[in-house]
Amino acid sequence: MKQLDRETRLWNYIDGKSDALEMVQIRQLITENKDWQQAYEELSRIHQMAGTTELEQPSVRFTKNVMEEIAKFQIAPATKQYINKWIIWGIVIFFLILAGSLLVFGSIHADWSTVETSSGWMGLASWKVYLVPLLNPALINLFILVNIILGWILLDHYLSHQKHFPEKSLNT
Amino acid sequence: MHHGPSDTEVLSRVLNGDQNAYALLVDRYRNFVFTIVLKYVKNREDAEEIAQDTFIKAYRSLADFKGLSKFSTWLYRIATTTSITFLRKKKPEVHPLDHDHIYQKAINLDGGLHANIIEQKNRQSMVRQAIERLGEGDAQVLLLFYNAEQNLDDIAQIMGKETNAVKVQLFRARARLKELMKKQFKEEIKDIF
Repeated sequence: MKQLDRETRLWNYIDGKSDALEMVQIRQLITENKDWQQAYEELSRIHQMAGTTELEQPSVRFTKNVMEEIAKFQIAPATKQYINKWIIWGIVIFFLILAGSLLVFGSIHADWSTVETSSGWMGLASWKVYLVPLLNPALINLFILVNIILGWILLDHYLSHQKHFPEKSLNT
Repeated sequence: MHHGPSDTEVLSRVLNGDQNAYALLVDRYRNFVFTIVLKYVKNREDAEEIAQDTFIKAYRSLADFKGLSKFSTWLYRIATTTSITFLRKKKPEVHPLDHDHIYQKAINLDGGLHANIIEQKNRQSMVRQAIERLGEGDAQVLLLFYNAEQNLDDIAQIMGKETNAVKVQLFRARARLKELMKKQFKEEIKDIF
């Protein structure tokens, strides 16, 4: 534990991440304490060596290959310019409808009898919902169908954009 | 450090229609990108293809690069995601192992490498081979920190991690490298440690 703490402090010192006070303390420890001095020398050597490794090299034709490939393409317009605002609004509306319908469904099926009715919680207990007659299986099925179709349309828009601008998804 | 025009200058030339200027950036970062990809994909042919793909993707998306990070950070991020996507598509050949397991396996190995090192007596090659024996995450952190001039925040962005997680990983990677070198190359490094 003590050694781990020492190494952490020394790495911070070597990386220049220690604050001024810590730097002074560590410098003093390195000068006065043999263990610290030895640990510091070891870590410094690892630090030096890690920075001297050579990079791998691709084939000599690498740059030429890339340039030949990009000659076929043009820089795609920035993402902002081609994303249809309607897609964003479609997604927003879809989730609003979904959240709203869940709320309505929950309200209708809630057992309001368990709520205090004398004064009511902020007067809401006396609130009645008369949407029950509207909630028949046919209507629910229709609602689900509309949502599925809307989802498909959004997915289709998304996939067609992926097809035309595959590079836009490179960071995802 | 590189010479010649800055990345920003080259990028503005490319964005203004000078496609050939992009070759400057490819030459500047090809080795870095190739080395990063090789940390994920061990086959050089595949790595070369992915590295080329990285530069092509970057070129086509240049309009999206807003300069909020260094160009190199953005490019290495593309290299990392492209490599990961490649590995996902090539699932049967992927054998995900946790870093400790890889490290433990590496430290117990004692093959022809030892003999090679004695022959080569090459410190650089020794460190490089030791790094190769670390897990791919550890190796990548070391590469980005020491060779690719990326700070902890940049590395976090490239690897899609938190800065603190990268800091911890860097500490561990260096500790493992030290231990690995001490154990594996005892004779060769007795004058160093």
